[in-house]
Order: sequence, then structure tokens, then C-alpha cells
Amino acid sequence: MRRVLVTGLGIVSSIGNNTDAALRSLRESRSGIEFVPEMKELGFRCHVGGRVKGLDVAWIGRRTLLSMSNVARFAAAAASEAVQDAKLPPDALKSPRAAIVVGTCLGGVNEIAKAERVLRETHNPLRVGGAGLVRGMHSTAAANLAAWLGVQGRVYSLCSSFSTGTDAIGHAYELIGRGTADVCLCGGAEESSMRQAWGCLDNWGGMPSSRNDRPEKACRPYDQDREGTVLSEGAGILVLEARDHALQRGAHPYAEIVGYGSSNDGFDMFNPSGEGLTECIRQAMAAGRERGVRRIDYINAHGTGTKVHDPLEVQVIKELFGTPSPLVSSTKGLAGHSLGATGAHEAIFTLLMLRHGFVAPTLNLERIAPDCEGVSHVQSLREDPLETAMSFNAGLGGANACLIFRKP
Amino acid sequence: MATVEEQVKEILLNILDVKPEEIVPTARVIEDLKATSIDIVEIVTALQNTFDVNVTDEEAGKIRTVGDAVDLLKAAIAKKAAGGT
Repeated sequence: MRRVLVTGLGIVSSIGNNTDAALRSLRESRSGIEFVPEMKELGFRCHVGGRVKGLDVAWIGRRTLLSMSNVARFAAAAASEAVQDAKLPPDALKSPRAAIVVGTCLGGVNEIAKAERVLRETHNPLRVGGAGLVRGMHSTAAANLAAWLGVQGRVYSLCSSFSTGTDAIGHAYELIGRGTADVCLCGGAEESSMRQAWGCLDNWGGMPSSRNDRPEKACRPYDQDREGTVLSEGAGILVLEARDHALQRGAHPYAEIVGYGSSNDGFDMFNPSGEGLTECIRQAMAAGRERGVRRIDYINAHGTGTKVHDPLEVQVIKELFGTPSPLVSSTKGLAGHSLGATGAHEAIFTLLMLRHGFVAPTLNLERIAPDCEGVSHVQSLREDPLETAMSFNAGLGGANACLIFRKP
Repeated sequence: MATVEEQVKEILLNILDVKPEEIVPTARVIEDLKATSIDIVEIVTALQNTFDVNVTDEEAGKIRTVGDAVDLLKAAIAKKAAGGT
């Protein structure tokens, strides 16, 4: 298995549309969650969400934008930053040795909804047009990036619910590690599915509703008063390269990926069991040990702020790492839960903390809930020269995935 | 309010890789403006949705130039105003 480095990052998110902005938000605990009037108008219990703000995509070009709905536009903007950040030479991507794995939960869901609405209202299929399919299909972000950048190797999307971004990065890591690709753009992208899917979570009672007047306080992972998670949108793209390929051209990597694990609970579509999370962390740690990893300094946990999941992952961390545990925080209180993009967003946040030597606290963790005690929660900004960091995510349908990064 | 000609021009600029000065009434959509078959579908869709009129396959198939598209739309708008669909 070849060694794999992360050489570039790009992000579009509720806390910033580039890594500098996201870094500032992480350091200053500047929340991206805001009041969403449409949620109130539509009768949701939760009226807050994390939207992408002020993103300019006109520079991508009108014709290219025609085949993109927001999910692909977010991915394009993030990919552009990542490629420039990595200082990839122009011909590195125009090759069958370059790959793209960009996951999403729901793809161009708004485009699909629009097509159905137009047909229902006009009874005229001609009104639906021809580009809606490429704008709506699950692989729209990955495929648009390939067409735009000239990538000729493996190009596809994947979905493992909220572990999507983590699994996309893990899959890219394996493609390069096994020699199928030398460079890969990977990560996740998600456009707001407020009108199509957010309501499901609201109906389960999985979203907060008593702090609609204080959006930045709404999502409170591990806190006694937590009520649920707040959803958001955006894209996170990483450039992964084979180590030799990267060092040969003088790249400045953020980190080496030294472990990846992915495991399903095999249990239930809605409720996690903890077994899959335990197994995927074990897999990642076993791989890390082969690369010389002896300890984990920081864990960016899934930490959604829901009643059920927060204590379960705390229990898993305690069982696997003992006391004291590695430092633990969740960034969902700050940036929200961006579904298929969240694993990539959190990998990027983790890598920024690794590079800049700090740990962002769990926002709104004021009183640790009794069922979430026993791990080293970070409740205020902490300067720390991290060497290794883990990021894990869990999703519906029993999905779990974990990555370990080590400073180069 | 933009004229039909101005709105048609904006639609073509959004879909095709052309300069504004290339969009003249006599410009042939396929030969001069290099529209592909998918572009044609998107153009006809956008024209219908922008002006809220219905255009049949047969009518769309007769469009050769920008001027043809403008004339077809004006006729469809007039028909709709007169109570047709």
C-alpha cells in the first residue's frame, strides 16, 4: 500500500467559502447557523440552518454552470481552491492516473424536485428540458469536475449517508494506495435539501426548536440541553497524492493519511448500535499502528447534538481509548451538519487544526450531560501542537467511517 | 421591461458560448452559433419557461435563425393572450 498525502484543501461552507475564512471561524468560534425564514413559513419546528453565504460562481462560466445545480457549483468552487492550494501542475489532472471521488447524499435534489413540479404544473414534458438529468444525477458533482478539469481516471460519487465524505476520502486513499491513481480530488458536496429531506429530521424530533431566536446556540453537542442537530450545506474537496508523486514536485502536504476504517452496524436503518463505529475505529487504528502511530492527540467526533448518538459515541471512545481519552470536540455546533459533505468538511477542519496547532472547542458545550461524561471534551480554544488526529462520522442505515491523519 | 428580442438574446447567451454581437436576427442557431442538439433542447425549454408558452416539437423544428425563434415566440405569446395555449 503506497503512502498517501493530503496536499490541497478547498471548502464552501456555512462558516466560510475558503479555508482562510473557515480557519478564522474555527479559531473565533464564529457560528455559521442562522435563522431561515422559509423554515418558519413552511411550519417546521426548527427555524435555523447553516447556509452557504455570498458565494460567487459566475467566474466558472455560463456554459459550464448550465450542467450544474448547487451541489456541483459548491464542489467546483471548493475544487478550484484545493487545486490551487496544492499547486498542482495543469497536466496532473488531465490524465487517466487522476481520479475523482466526490460523494453526496442527495445530489442535485432541487433540480429533480423542479422537474417534477414543472411537469405537474404544465403537463408538457418539453418544459422539463434536457440538462436537468445531468444537474440532478447523483454523480453530478464528480462528473462536472471531470468534464471541467479534464480528469480521465476513475470518476464517481458514493453515498454512505452522513459518512459519505469520510468514505469518499477513504476510497480515494485506497485508490492511490493500491496504485490505481496518483492524484485524486475527493470529498463531499451537498446542496440544501430543506424542502425535501430536512423535514424528516424535524419530524423525528432530531432538530432543536427552543432556540430559534438564538440560532448560534441551537446545536449543542454533548450538552445537557441538547435537542438535536442543525443541517447545513456546502462542499469540501481534498487533493490526495501518492507520496512520491507529491514530494517529487515539491508539494507542501497538510498531513499523511495513516488509517481508514469503514464498517456498518448491520442493525437498523435509524438507530446506531455502536458496533460499526467501534469496528471502523479499530480498523483505522490497526492501519495506523502499521504506519507507526502510537497515540491519537485529537478526535473530531461526529457529535451531532442528538439525544441518542452523542452518548453512544462517547461510550465507544471511552471503551477504545480509556481515560484520559484523546482531546475530543465536535464542530457541528459551529458549522452544522452538512450531510454528504460533513465528513469532508470535518476532515478539512481537522487538517487545519493539525497544521496550525490548535483544537476548536465544541460550541455551546456549557454543561456536559451526565451520559456524555468521561472523555476529554474541549470546551474552549486550545493551542496544541497536534501530531495525529482522527475524524469519524456515522450515518443513517448503520454507516460508520474513520480517518487518521498524521502531520508530515 | 425587456423586449422579446432582448430576452431571447439573454437566453442564448446563457446557453451558448457566443458573444453578444453574434446574436443577430439572421444568425443560424446551429451553423453560426454552434448549438448542439442538447443546446437546442435547452433553448426551447428556456424560451417556453421564460415566456410561459407552449411550443410543439413541429414548431421548434422550424427554428433555423434567431429571428425565427423571436417570431415563433411572439406568435405564441399572442395566441396565449387570445385565449389559446
